[in-house]
Amino acid sequence: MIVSGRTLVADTVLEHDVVVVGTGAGGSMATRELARAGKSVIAVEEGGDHTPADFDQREDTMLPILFQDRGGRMTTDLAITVLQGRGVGGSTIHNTNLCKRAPDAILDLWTQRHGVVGCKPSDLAPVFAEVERDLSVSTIPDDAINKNNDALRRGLAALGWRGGALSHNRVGCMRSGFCELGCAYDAKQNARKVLLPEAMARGATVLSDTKVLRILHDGRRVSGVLAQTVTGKLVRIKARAVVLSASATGSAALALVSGVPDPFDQIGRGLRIHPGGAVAGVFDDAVDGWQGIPQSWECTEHLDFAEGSDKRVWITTAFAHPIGTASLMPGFGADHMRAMRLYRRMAVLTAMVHDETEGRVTASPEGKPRIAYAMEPRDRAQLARGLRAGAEILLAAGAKEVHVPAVRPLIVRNKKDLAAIDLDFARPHSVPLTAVHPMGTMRMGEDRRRSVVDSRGRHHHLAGLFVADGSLFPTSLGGPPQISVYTLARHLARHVADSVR
Amino acid sequence: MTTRRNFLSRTARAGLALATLSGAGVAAFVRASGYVVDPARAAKLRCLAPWQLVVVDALAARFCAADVPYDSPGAPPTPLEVGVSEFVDQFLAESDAEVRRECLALFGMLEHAYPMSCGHLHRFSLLSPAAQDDVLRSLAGSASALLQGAFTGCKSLFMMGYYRDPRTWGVLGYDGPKKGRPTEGWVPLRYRGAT
Ligand SMILES: Cc1cc2nc3c(=O)[nH]c(=O)nc-3n(C[C@H](O)[C@H](O)[C@H](O)COP(=O)(O)OP(=O)(O)OC[C@H]3O[C@@H](n4cnc5c(N)ncnc54)[C@H](O)[C@@H]3O)c2cc1C
Ligand code: SF4
Repeated sequence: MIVSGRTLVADTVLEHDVVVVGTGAGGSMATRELARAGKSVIAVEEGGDHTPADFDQREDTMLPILFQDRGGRMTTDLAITVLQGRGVGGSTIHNTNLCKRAPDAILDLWTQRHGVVGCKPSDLAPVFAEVERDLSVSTIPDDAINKNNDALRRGLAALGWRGGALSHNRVGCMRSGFCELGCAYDAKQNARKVLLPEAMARGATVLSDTKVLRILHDGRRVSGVLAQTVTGKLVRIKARAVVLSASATGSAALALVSGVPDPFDQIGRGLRIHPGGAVAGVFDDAVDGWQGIPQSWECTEHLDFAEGSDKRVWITTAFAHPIGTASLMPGFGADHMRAMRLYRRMAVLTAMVHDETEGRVTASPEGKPRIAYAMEPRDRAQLARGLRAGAEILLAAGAKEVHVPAVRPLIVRNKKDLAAIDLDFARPHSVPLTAVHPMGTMRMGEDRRRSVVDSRGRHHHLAGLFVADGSLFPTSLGGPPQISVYTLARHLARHVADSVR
Repeated sequence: MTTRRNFLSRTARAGLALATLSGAGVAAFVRASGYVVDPARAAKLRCLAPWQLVVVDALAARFCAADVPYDSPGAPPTPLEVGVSEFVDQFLAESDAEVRRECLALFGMLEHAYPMSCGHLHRFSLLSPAAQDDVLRSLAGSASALLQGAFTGCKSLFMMGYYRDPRTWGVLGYDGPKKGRPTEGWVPLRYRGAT
């Protein structure tokens, strides 16, 4: 049952075995698994419950509803827009449905360098497979590759670079192209659609429009959470276990503002975000990049997961609707409008850095996440590499010119022009950057001095506190994270269930 | 550390201090009272003060200026026709209080103080369009990363106000939402596992 906090008429006390904070990829999976294990579980979600009928395919109405801070969340230095979801289903409601397992090399790195136990590729392979079945993951069919993605495919073929078709979790997709504004046709196999109905059928409760303010504890063991509805009613939930699934920003901020013991000052550290910049190629003919499945092809030529590799950029397509595009295109006024007139003929690629920079999440006194992230030169070099590669792909695909949005905008017309995209050009504040994959602020590992939770997701110092979301990752993934978030949450939920036997 | 929360108000305070310290600043404040506002529009405001509506109108006119004369055939709508300022008013009214306070402080700073730092002796809303563009370009290209950030945030808000309106989509050739259009042979899927 989904109960909106708006319907509570008085302060309330509830009691459950487990309370899960947040209902995104990690929270919904943990809730479903705990319900399957027969536990009494409540998932508390600060955002509302929005269903396909609510999704009107308009940016101005959907961004404020579906995204944290109405789509305006940024790093504290205002250099990077950080997009994250808010509402039942979390970021899985508006994400673009790409499904990729964590690369074996990354899981090996977690095992060998970060002391993670039980998450080797062979340990997780069966769990990945179960999650992929849950979400109906399949390869995006050839006839669903739109013209924007075809430009990427053609460019890669012309250059002889590595790349290929992506997999997704859609069934009955209308190819409308509005994925980032919620699917009006209910084709996304997201957490709200696939996991929560089963969890609720097994007795779980979802309390929406209610924000968890504090984790209640005595310094040694949790006793529940204190939450507040959007209408101001306080809800005290007594529980033997608390699962943090409020995302890599929300979980760390909540732990910090709750005074969770942190003797080695680890909570909030190690934030990775896959910062990404964009390039837009202008073609002679219409591309109409907003039509069809937004992302279906990838370039992995500049991505090598070996330790110390200097190839750390993942390139895919990134077409935006009018408001997103208008914000990205450089300048303002008449010049800006002239560039907007190229909209139909543009193909847009994004280069996301598999980042080594470690950002940090802290909390405001009210518990709002503050995201500090100062991109290091080695990652800026990767960003420059990615923007150059993106522009080269578009030229190879037949673009007449490639616009590289920046404070000093650059138009690339041939390979020689690419040299202008150097380390200095690829500065935050100079190039507009967006991040959609925050990870790693409550890292898992067996070393208490370098991690926040153990390999079972259990907090090192506070009994009864668990983490099941993207904040578990000890490093960046270098690709879309949702499948790995779902998988870790499924893998670790049994330890939560065991703890409340 | 500078946070987004305190940045805009700090910038505004710094700008206002700069303005009040100079004679020109005093002159600008003296003129701050002479705003002419349409009472019908002012009556509908949710969070902007009437004088702020004039500033936001002026910013909208520059951020969203067209590349062709508005009286030419097929010209896009003006920001005024689209109601960009009314959108900004509504958006800020629904934002959390700190964001609202900071944006309003930024508008005040852009109107009263920042033009002077670019060598203009009048407040923003009284400058010529060319001088207003000069002020915005200077903000965008500022050596201060935070002022650049303020420009970007402000621009996004105005672009949202303009390009949200279907009448502007002709500029792009964008055909808009598909919901409600005929969908041949498609049957909605039920929630799997739902009862
Ligand atoms: C635009 C966009 C596109 C993306 N596309 C893809 C893609 O194609 N493929 C992919 O793999 N990944 C994609 N992602 C990322 C992916 O969706 C996330 O990595 C994943 O959902 C993270 O899961 P999570 O459980 O950590 O957090 P989330 O899914 O973000 O869920 C966290 C939830 O916690 C809630 N919450 C936060 N604080 C509190 C609190 N104090 N009290 C109560 N509730 C709280 C939030 O409202 C939110 O609903 C995309 C993300 C974005 C933004
Ligand atoms: S492209 Fe498919 S999944 Fe995306 S919004 Fe349209 S129908 Fe839904």
